[in-house]
Amino acid sequence: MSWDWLWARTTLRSLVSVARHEFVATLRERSGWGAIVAACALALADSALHPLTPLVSGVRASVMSGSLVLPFLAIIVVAGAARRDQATSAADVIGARPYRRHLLLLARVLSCFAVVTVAYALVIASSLAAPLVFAGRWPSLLTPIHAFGREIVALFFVVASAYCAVSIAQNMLAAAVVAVYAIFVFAWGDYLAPIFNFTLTQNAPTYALIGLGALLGTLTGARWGEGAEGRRPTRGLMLGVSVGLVLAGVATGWHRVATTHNRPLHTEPFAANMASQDIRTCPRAPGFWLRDQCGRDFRLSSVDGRVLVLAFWSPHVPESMAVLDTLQAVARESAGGNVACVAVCLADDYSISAHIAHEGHYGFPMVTDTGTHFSRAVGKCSPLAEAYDLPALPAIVITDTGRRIAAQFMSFATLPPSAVTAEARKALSIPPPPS
Amino acid sequence: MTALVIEVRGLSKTYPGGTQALRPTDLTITNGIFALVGPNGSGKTTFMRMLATLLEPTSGTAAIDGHDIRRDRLAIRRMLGYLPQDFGLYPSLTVDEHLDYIALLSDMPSAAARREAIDQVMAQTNLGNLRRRRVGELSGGMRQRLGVAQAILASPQLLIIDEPTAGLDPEERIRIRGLLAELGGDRVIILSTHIVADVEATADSVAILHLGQMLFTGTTEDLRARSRGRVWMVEVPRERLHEMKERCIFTGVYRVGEKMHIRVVADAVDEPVVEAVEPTLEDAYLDVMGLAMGANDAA
Repeated sequence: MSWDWLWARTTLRSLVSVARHEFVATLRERSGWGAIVAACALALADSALHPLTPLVSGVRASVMSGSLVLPFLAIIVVAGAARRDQATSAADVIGARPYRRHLLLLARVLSCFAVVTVAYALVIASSLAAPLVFAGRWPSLLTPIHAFGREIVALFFVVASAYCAVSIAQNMLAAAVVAVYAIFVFAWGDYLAPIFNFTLTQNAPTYALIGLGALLGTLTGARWGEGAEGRRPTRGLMLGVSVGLVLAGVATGWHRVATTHNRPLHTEPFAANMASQDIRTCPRAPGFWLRDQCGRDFRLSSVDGRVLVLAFWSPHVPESMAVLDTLQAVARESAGGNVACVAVCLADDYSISAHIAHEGHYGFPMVTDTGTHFSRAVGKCSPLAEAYDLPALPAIVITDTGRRIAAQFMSFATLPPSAVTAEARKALSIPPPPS
Repeated sequence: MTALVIEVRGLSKTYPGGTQALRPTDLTITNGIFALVGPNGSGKTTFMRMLATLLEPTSGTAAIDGHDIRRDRLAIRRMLGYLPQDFGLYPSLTVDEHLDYIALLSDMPSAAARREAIDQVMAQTNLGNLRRRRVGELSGGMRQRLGVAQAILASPQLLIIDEPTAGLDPEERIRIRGLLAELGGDRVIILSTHIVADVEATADSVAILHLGQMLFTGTTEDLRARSRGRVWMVEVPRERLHEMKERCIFTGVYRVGEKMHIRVVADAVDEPVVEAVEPTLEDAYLDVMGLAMGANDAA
């Protein structure tokens, strides 16, 4: 066995052991547990207050608890650990030891990440426990796995960048800056939200690259600051690689904004025109051309000549997600008939509807109006909601074969699929308009 | 084990803002217990943190066993055990976990070696029965013993201990002193304190620091010898105490009936009842400090 291999194995073993001790110490911090319990309680309450299926609970866990609570939870854990690590007495006890600074820093980041990961798992478990506790339904395994995958890279980015910032700046202000950044991210909309939204799986490469770059740069700096016994040429290389990773992350984000991310529809002239249609004098369902769960463009005109059942929902209105099961039942009942079922997701992230469609095995097209932005009035939150004049979610719109609106259901708690199917059958009997 | 030598040449530290914590200092320290004595704020901790490679000196240098404190930090840390004044690490870890963690940081990757070292220091510091107790639940004395245990865990050749008995009750103080006396011998222990009784009980040599300046370095006997013939026990009426205070350095005041017996340091005492006595280390320390303060006042 070569010396290098032995050295690597010994280093890795001691790194894991140090990280394990740091993990135990951080996990036992009362302040961290306070935040974890609060996050779990929020997730449980959020799930318990809404009649959710396990699938929807998982999405809620990642979209709401994940995006809003977890980054702050991560900041609290990281800030607490960083404050403890920088207390002079603790820093001196460890500082006088021969253990390499950069390895210690890496162990600490990993331990914080492990603590946040445990917290995240508990939040998801709490969210999924609600259907089991309150409705006696077992959660599906796929849901927590997907929910976990949606956030974990973003959480690594938050933990690594926050701890590195505190380590470089040597004060808690750095953690506060990261926290303020997070607040801005969640408060902002449109372009910034799709770029930085922590729930957005599309941005995982950006987060991963920037997080790794920040971590590598800080580790190199820590090793540099340690003084002698380092191989100087490798330092320059490491710093170069870390800067390269950060730049690559920024470039990836920029590239995605320019290519992958949908432009907010309310800035599009055609969307503005669509929204200005007067559906009172000509009650024809406005057309649209949006991306479906498979990433394909879906045109409403592609189902011309059929009765249309449009279901509007949003992951941010949990009770609206029940409409998907109704639509699924209608689609099943009307299979082979002249009825087309389409779900419209009002969200700025089409990956959510893709996950939902996949996890719920929904076979109908599920398009996303990515022009959605936060607004208390549903009708103002997306161009499509405005065009259809939707006052609340969920909503079901049924048209006849000439795409004239035949029936609307708004804000129902539980609507039997048979009622929708009956309306759809009625719409089928309406004679088409003269061409 | 060969003798370890610490050579300090022109070492000084000025903090940002202009506070000169340590004036240029020359010093040689060899095996045994070396005590740094001085009031709070005299520069003891600054000096020790520089030797422990935790603080960059402003000028000058120090070499520990030939290793420069600026360039060879890792080499020095491998031979160093350090206990800061406010010893505190992770209060949520148990004593056992804490020592295991410190052993890992002391380049002891083998779990068996760590276990053996931990058992040994626990026996030395009498911590065996506190193995599973969390650090945050320890009393001041127990915590200090744990501090000493983590400092000696890797059998360091150089042990730097900052104010080990501050804030401890007399019983724990005596216990720590005994422990330090046991540890001295074939290693260098640099001990800082403002309690002269600690020095008297443990140290082989001593340095007195005041306002960043090294006022005295030598053996404890040298320090005592410096004040020999200048320490007096004087009997005075109570009403003359204030007047005596103006003229002499008091090192002790005792009441005997209506009279006061005072222990003073002075070149000569012109009183009817006076007796020359053998100086203690405390007399000698106060003598040096009194002279320094007198010089400062004169300046």
